[in-house]
Amino acid sequence: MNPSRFQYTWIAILLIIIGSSVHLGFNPLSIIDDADNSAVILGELLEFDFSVWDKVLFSLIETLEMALIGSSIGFVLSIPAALLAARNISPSYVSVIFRSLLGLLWSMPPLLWAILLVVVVGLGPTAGIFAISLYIMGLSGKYLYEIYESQNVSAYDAMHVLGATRMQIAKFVTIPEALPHMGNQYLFLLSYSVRESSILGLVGAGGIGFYIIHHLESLNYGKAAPFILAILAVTLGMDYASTRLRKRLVHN
Amino acid sequence: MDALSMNAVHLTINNRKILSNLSMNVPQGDAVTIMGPNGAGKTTLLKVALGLVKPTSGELYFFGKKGLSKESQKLLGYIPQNLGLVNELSVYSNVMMGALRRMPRWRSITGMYPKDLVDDTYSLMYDLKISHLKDIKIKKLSGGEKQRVAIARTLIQKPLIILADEMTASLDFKAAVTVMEIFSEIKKKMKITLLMTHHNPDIARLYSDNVLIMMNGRIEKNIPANEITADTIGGLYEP
Ligand SMILES: Nc1ncnc2c1ncn2[C@@H]1O[C@H](COP(=O)(O)OP(=O)(O)OP(=O)(O)O)[C@@H](O)[C@H]1O
Ligand SMILES: [Mg+2]
Repeated sequence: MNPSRFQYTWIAILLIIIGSSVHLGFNPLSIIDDADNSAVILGELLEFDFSVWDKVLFSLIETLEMALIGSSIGFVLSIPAALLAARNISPSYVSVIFRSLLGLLWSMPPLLWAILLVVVVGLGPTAGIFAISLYIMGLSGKYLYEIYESQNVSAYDAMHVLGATRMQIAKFVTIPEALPHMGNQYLFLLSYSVRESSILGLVGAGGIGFYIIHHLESLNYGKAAPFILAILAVTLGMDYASTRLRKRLVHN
Repeated sequence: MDALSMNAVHLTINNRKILSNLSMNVPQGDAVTIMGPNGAGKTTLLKVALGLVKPTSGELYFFGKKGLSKESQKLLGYIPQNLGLVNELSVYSNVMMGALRRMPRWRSITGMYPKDLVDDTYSLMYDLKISHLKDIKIKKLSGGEKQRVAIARTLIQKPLIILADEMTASLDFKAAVTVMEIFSEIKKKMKITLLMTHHNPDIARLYSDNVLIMMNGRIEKNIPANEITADTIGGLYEP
């Protein structure tokens, strides 16, 4: 792309942003105009009401358990699904089907899956676990088949000459070569799901989000604060731990 | 008799002639080297012989029989350009992989390999001086060690013809000679026919009977290997 075309592209994007803001009546300065409001809410949030500590603990554990179970199910299911979706392993009609499936799972945010699943399996963490599993299966599957497809072609050529079946190729080349990436991937998905599952309570699919929305809606900001703080602490902690673990994996 | 021959092979991809009217033959038991500039079509020629690429037209013969049947496919060993080993698996697993055709599928998937293949794997690792590396992952090996693993992997399938694509490309001359010495000794012992590509004229002269010069998708010359020097080749590489 030559420089002038590059510049035109950016100018066009800027115009679309301005146009969209006008269309929605969006004024970035409104947050400053309403600063009094913000200050009041912030002040109330800072009056941490720790009388709810037992519920914080209970719902936090529930959130972590949902994330752990959901992301593990999604991750495990994504491995065979990605094998079936990878063009260098599966026949093209199979890979088209599984690519679409993974794309579908991934394109719906977990919160929307949760709304659907609450209808199907009822209120509670089971709906949340299913929602996380489905979304993570899509996210992880897409990532994995791209890894599979970018693997060294000559290893595949050698296997074809050796008369290997698809299953043998998966066992001897695809999976072992992807394994180090997959360890990383799992850790990332785990910390990602903690964040996702902390909001599913909004729609009654279990986890800490339920209490946050409950207290915020009843204008009990001080009671909501400890729950928000707990999420913050856990996600930051998870992020830190998984980054360190991943570094270790890479160096191994 | 010719172990392998090609007659009037053409290959066109996206209107580009990659191989054009290519004919060549490799007598049984011989070692033949293909030399030629980058992009001449050496790798593609090997892939056509292996059935990895379908030619647009032309004929292939293996030991006088036309076409690449399932039976002749079993006789072909392949060492791809940059080897095609599985970096995350051990030397042992990579060698064992070469024997997929010699075991029932369930054994290959469960990893319960038959006793005779385990023995074969050990004795080949011994012959190629990689026994001490048995449990080491490929990614930790030196270039010369990787070459020897690739050779072991193809030998365990008991091929009659081995097609080796620039197998010594990443090695210095001394390491290349070491690998080729081991390889050609085994080749004699097992009566294997060799079709190789090399860029180094000294390696080509030392370890082959004939050298085919390839340019623009066809074989231009067939020269006895002992006439190959850097000078003769240098001239041929020029356009
Ligand atoms: N699948 C393909 N699609 C399009 N072009 C291809 C394909 N495979 C090979 N070619 C082209 O065919 C030509 C010959 O490639 P090939 O890899 O056989 O050359 P080579 O002689 O092995 O070169 P090198 O010495 O660099 O290994 C190249 O110009 C390459 O770009
Ligand atoms: Mg090549």
